[in-house]
Amino acid sequence: MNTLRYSFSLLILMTGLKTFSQNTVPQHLNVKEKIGWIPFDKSIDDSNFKVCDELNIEEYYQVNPSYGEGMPAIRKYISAHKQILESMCEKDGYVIVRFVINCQGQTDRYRTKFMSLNYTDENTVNAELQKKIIQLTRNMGNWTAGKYDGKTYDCYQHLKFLFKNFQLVDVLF
Amino acid sequence: MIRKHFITWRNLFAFSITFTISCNVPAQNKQSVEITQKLLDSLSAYAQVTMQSDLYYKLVLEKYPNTHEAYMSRSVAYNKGGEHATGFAMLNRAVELAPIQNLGYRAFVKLYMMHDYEGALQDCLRLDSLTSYAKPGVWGEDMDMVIGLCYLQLKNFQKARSLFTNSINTVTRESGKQWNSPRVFLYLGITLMKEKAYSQATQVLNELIQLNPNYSEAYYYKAQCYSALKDLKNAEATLEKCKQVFKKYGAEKNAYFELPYQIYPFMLSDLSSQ
Repeated sequence: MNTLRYSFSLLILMTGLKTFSQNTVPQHLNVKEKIGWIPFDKSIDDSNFKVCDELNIEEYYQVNPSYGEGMPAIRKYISAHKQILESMCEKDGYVIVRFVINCQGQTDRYRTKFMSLNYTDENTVNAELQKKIIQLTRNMGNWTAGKYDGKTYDCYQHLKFLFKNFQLVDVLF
Repeated sequence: MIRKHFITWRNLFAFSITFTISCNVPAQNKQSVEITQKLLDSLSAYAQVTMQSDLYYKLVLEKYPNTHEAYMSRSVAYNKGGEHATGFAMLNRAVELAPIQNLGYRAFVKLYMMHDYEGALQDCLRLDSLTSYAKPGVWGEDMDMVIGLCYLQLKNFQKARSLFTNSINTVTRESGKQWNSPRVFLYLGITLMKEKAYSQATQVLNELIQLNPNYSEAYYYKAQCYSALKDLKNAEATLEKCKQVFKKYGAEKNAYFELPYQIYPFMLSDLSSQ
């Protein structure tokens, strides 16, 4: 009987530890400020865009939001604008766009960065291209909100546009 | 008789020398290492993307600037959140300080999260050259498989084939065939498909199906091989099996990135209509 009791306690403890240590489940941190936090900026963000829980905007890998059938759907949408993006590219590297998907699948709070192929921060480069990428991703329409254990969540998502030889060679997350 | 002086000048000199030596660098280093380890252990209490976690690692680095674990740990949150310039600046420093411990993780991030196949390959080859006696995993994956995948993505199919085969042979010899990652068979099959060796690819994918009968990807790429061979009867039958398995078990996914050669439901209907 004691063995059974100890085994049960151990099982509960292990389950608890596993949940606590996993990074691929919602963390419920109850804070706005975290690495990659995007504060609301009234000069560029839509004031009508609401998140369900400002203190618990999870990361994409914790709640798995999706767009259509996934990355192929995003690539298909972007491919229609490939030429214009390539014509705006001044330097090879990654344009990284990060944004918020709310619990209803709407998006806002877009921010971009440009990083060279050597992984150095060069945010001032490709400024027009960065603006265009924000416009395109904004126009993609709604996503399917991130979900875990039957509950929908707000979350951060990012997309990377990889340019080589002034060609858009990949879009990834 | 009571001695007048307990401490002679000679004793005082010897004492001061001993004291000076005991206060010297080695003792301080010993203390630093202990404190750093204790701090690092305690930091696991904070969730990865929190400001507290980042701040404490930053404080560790201010006091102990050569702690590669702190650079690496800080980099993870930034790279996962798409702040790669910051993440890589930290990860590169971790690699400078301790290449054997950190090259594998950097290769992994370059390969799967950045699609920087050349960069990942260089990191893997460097790690391989530094550890030829051991062949450590690349963030938990077999090194030959990861190097092979870099070559596959760089379209060097001959080298990719050789490395995947080597990976399978080594794991099979050392631990048994069932201990191979299903993906190594998948990548070998895809490499053979790219070389238009469809019959050989089918054989490899059959081996994968034998080992993992619920692996949808194996059926999908096998159906593609039959389709390329214009064997429409087998292509249809394999695709039908793929749909059944996919419906029940789905496809392999990773929360952080899209897996190479990941399959999606629409791909199955697209292949049907071909």
